[in-house]
Amino acid sequence: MPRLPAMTRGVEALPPAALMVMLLLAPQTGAGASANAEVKAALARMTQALHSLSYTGTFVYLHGDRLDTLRFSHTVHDGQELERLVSLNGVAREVHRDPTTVVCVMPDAKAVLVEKRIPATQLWPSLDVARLGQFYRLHTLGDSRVAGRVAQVVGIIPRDALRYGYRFYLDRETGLPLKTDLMNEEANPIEQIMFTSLGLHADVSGPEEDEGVPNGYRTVTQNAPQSDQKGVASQWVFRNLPVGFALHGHHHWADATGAQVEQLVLTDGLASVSVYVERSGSEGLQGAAHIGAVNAWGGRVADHQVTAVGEVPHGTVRQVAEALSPRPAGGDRND
Amino acid sequence: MTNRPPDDELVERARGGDRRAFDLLVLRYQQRVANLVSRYVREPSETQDVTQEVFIKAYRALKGFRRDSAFYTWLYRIAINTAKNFLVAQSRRPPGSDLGVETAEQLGMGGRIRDYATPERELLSEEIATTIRAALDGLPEDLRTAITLRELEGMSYEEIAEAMSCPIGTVRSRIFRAREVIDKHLKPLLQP
Amino acid sequence: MSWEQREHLSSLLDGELDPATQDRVLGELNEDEGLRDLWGRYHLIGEVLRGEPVSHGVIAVADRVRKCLEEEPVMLSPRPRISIPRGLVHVGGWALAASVALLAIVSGPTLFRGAATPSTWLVRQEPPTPILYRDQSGVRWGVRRPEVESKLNSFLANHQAYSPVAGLKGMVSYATFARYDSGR
Repeated sequence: MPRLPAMTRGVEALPPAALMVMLLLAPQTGAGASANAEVKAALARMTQALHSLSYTGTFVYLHGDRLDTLRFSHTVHDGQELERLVSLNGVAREVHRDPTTVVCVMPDAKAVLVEKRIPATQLWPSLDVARLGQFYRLHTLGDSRVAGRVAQVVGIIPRDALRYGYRFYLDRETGLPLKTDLMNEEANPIEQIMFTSLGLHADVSGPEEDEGVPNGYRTVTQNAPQSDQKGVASQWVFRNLPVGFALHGHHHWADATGAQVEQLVLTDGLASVSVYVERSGSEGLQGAAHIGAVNAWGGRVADHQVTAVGEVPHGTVRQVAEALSPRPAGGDRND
Repeated sequence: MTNRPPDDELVERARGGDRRAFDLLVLRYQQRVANLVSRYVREPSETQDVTQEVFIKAYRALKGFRRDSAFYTWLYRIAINTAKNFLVAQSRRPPGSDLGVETAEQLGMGGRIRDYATPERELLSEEIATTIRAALDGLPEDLRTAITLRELEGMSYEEIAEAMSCPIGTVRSRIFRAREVIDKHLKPLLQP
Repeated sequence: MSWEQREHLSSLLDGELDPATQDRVLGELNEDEGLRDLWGRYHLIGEVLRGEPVSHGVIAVADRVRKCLEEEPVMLSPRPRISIPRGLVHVGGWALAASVALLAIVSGPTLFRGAATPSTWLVRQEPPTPILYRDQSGVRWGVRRPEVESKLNSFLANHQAYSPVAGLKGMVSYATFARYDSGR
């Protein structure tokens, strides 16, 4: 006989009818540990679907009073993921991604940006749901219909104004997110992505013929960062980070002149902010900037140019950037 | 007057972003492309989908079209590649690994699965051809000759004028009137 | 749709119109759906005359292509409208001098060919009516200096790799990068 989830264990002595009612109710209200487990399972399934299925779709991206349309395709061939995203309105920017490289095509600047990468799934195998629960309310919100299909609704709602949350409408059949809302702490959606067409490829023969880079475009290549220097502490520490955020790792690049750029990544388990530290001669953002829900904050710290970027509210990037300070000589640890 | 290939102007406009010019090119070549595609693709509904895709790819690739080759030649290559890619994707699909035709239909998305080659549609295609040929046969001889020399022999107005010993203006008028008569029978067939 | 317009259309089809009239007729074709359909029917007549197979179902392909292309970005003109500033342009904070490479010219304006038609559609809906598609006046980040703008783009593209949400949502998180225009 299967063990009951922790939440109902204490009620094994109840009459079967009452127990049945509780079991039926529990997924709907989503309280407690079983809800966390359900959310975790649903998100794991979503991640699995996003990365293992081959699909193409057009989605609309609603933000402010704007509506943008983008086309996206994800194909898996020989275990390798190939992704392509192109904007369908305005300038035709494109992003291509394979396991080792990200290519961004920017027709307005007639430039192509090529970056070597570490695949995100390698860095973040799964969400630490227990940790998340401190800063987000995790719910399953029952089923809903999206575009004629049945979708399981999963919510990750922030408990404060320091971070955004998400509400995913996951196709019951495939696990793919048919609709995704970006949520604020009042559980109101502030942006939305919804697929208006989505189709699966049963099998994919191989990468499509690539036509290459357009005439006359410059290419800028950025090599992969040097390996994460575990055990070597950064020369920077953070004081007074926003609640829940902690240092996850740091990386280095050398720029063309040999100077180091350091990237420090902070996260609360879901939201993340990258802090880029460059030497002081560098041009950089001073103050605030944003693009949609992504915020950036820049300034000078100890003769370095510091820029923080993340899909978090404005106040959070600022607080993170301002929390940066040089590690004092004498070994104050940053953990 | 130079007899420029009719495509040049439309292609140039389409390259400059004129989508309606491209639409006229699609109308010009869709049957020809579909015939080509249907040599590779069996199902009529799939032929139509692949044909559609050929033109969309062509539109996106227009900036790369070099004017030293004929537009149709370039389009032809795109059509072949698209049809072949489609076939390869089809043949690689193991039986039974789709999400399932049943599923799509259960969810009311069966539209795409429906077979478009119903007997009614085949009859209609045949009827279009029959109607046009019958109307052509019924034309007065001078109109029939003019349009036949133009469409079948590809002669210019000037060449036809010489062949028929009449002014160019008369050629223009005869070809037009021939089309008008035929269209009078064709148009009702295509009304929704 | 007048007799004269139709006659001009017939001549246009045969490439026998003088340039000025041609321009005018092409303009009329823009406005008049009936003329456009007539163009289609004239071509059908020619095809049947030549003994080429015609399919009734294919007639509607042009309508579907037209509808699809409504969502397409307007193709850039071959003449570049944007002048690249002289000297170095910072991208991602690293001077271009050492890393610029002009790639060999290959055909095609875009890398994105689009995947082949999916074998199973999950969702097939009409897209919503486009709103503000033509408004390209917004600058992406709202910063005045293009080198800072470039750097922020690069940071953002890089940051996506380290965001757990990016792992979760996959490429959709790149929508932020791909969707905005730069104001020029």
